[in-house]
Amino acid sequence: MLEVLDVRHRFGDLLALDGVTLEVGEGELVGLVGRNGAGKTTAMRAIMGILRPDTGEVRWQGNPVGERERLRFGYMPEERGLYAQMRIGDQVAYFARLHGVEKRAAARAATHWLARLGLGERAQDQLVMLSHGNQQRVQLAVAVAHDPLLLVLDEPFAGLDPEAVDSLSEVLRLQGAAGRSILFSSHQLELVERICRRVVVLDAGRVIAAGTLAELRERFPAQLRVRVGSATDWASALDGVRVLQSDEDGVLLLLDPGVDSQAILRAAQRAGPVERFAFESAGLIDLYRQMISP
Amino acid sequence: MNRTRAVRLVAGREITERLRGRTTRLVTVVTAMLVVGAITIPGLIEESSRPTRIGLVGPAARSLAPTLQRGARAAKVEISLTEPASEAQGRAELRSGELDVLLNLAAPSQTAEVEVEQTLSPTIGALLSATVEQTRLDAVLAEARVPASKVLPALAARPIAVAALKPPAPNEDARIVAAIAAGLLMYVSLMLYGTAVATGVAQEKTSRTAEVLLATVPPGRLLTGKVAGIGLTGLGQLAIAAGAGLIANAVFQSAKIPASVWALLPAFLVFFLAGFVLYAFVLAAAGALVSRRKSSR
Repeated sequence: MLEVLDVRHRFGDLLALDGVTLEVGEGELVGLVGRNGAGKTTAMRAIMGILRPDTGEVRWQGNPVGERERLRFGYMPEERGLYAQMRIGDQVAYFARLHGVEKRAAARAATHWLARLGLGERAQDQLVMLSHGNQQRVQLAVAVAHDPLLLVLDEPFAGLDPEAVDSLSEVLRLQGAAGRSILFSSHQLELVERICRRVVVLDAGRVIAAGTLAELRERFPAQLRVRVGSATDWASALDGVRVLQSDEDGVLLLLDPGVDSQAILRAAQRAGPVERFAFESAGLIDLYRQMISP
Repeated sequence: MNRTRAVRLVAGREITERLRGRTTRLVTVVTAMLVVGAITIPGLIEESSRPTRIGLVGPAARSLAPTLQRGARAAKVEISLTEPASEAQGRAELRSGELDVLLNLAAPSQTAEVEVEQTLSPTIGALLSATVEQTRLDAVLAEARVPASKVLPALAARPIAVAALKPPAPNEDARIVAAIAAGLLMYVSLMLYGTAVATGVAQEKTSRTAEVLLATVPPGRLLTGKVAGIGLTGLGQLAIAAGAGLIANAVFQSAKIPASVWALLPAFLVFFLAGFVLYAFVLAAAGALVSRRKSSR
């Protein structure tokens, strides 16, 4: 299990990480979300030892993370960085060898992962000859070829076409199923919602929420969908109720904690025949908006 | 992972990728050709140079011919002697380029007049002076009826003997030339290969490859591997150029390298490598200070 404990880091006057604490369990896919500049990349770089945090600690299986532990970590930075003129087969094998894999095993792993990611025929091509999406696949192959126990992926889906997104999602799902711990950041919240078990939300260098989607939902007011004939303005005067949306599908109401839904039902019935009355599960996008709204 | 393994891997990748690149091979061939050219071309030009043509005008000048030939052989200077019919013809031949030097001497006791197109080479000047002086001495001795065999030993004996408290080291000139050559070699190596080290490190940093590498390899080992890989490739190129130069020198005999210079070679290699490594690390550190294109959070 990866544990990030009360990590703080400052760049000059800017407090990039303000006591960040999070964990990624074995076989768990954790999504790290937050707006640009929230501190996601800095947190990942601190985990990978690329920057040393001012205070706090990063632990793996209960021990402080050192050089030996990081050999079993795989990393995909936000700004992709590989050798443009190097053949991709050699490149994947080289990075696997830097992680301690023996020469032949590294070559086999490179062949396997390039084939798995649809680049088997292009192993002899230089990286620069590949499209952006394919270069990203190579970067993923570099991150996984040494069979890491922890994968830290910074925006792995950015700029990928839907087919590549599905392919990468499947790889992550299988890695998770194989017991690998995976932490990845993304602005594509529907993707995070689809493949992650838990989500950590960062804002201004602080963790403002963490947990499963169900746990996050419990922290925020429920959303109620009500359709009353053609009337739409009946709910605007109700106490503790905010109208999020009003259209031909009725109104979407956000209820403050403690508001009695039966009182809402009675108010709706007074306005006309109630055709629909149902609680809707808020998606990660809705929750995220509520979390970061001032 | 074993500490040296990462260094070896980083260095090995640098060497393999650089040797695979067309630029490295081209630079190696061009450098070797330049060195071979610099060694052989002056030799070829010298070889094709003709002897200095000297025209002798006047009865006394003509009698100098055997002494001049002997002196030229002793001084290892190539000359060819002609006897123009007259001073005017000799001057015309000098103007037309058929002659390089015109020596006019009517009698041994007179001052020899030497005419040239522009300048007289110091070697030829010394040869002519010595020959005229010798001839004049011979004439004076003959007139005084003194056998030359009695006078010449006295002239040959050293009039003074000099004892230096701190005599210069043997082959000092060769040593100075070797030291200057070593300094130049270091300068050229740092200009070419030291810069390549700095550029290689800076490129790795700006292309963000360093970010992936630093997640695995500590910075010190990464830098050492880069310096070793790029440095060894560069020094390999230099060794090929130097080897080609030595072979060319052996074939064309352009310059004689004294044995004492060869004796200095191990010391030179030690100091050269130590100096190169020191500077290469400084340049690599300078390359690592290049700011990234963008610093993201």
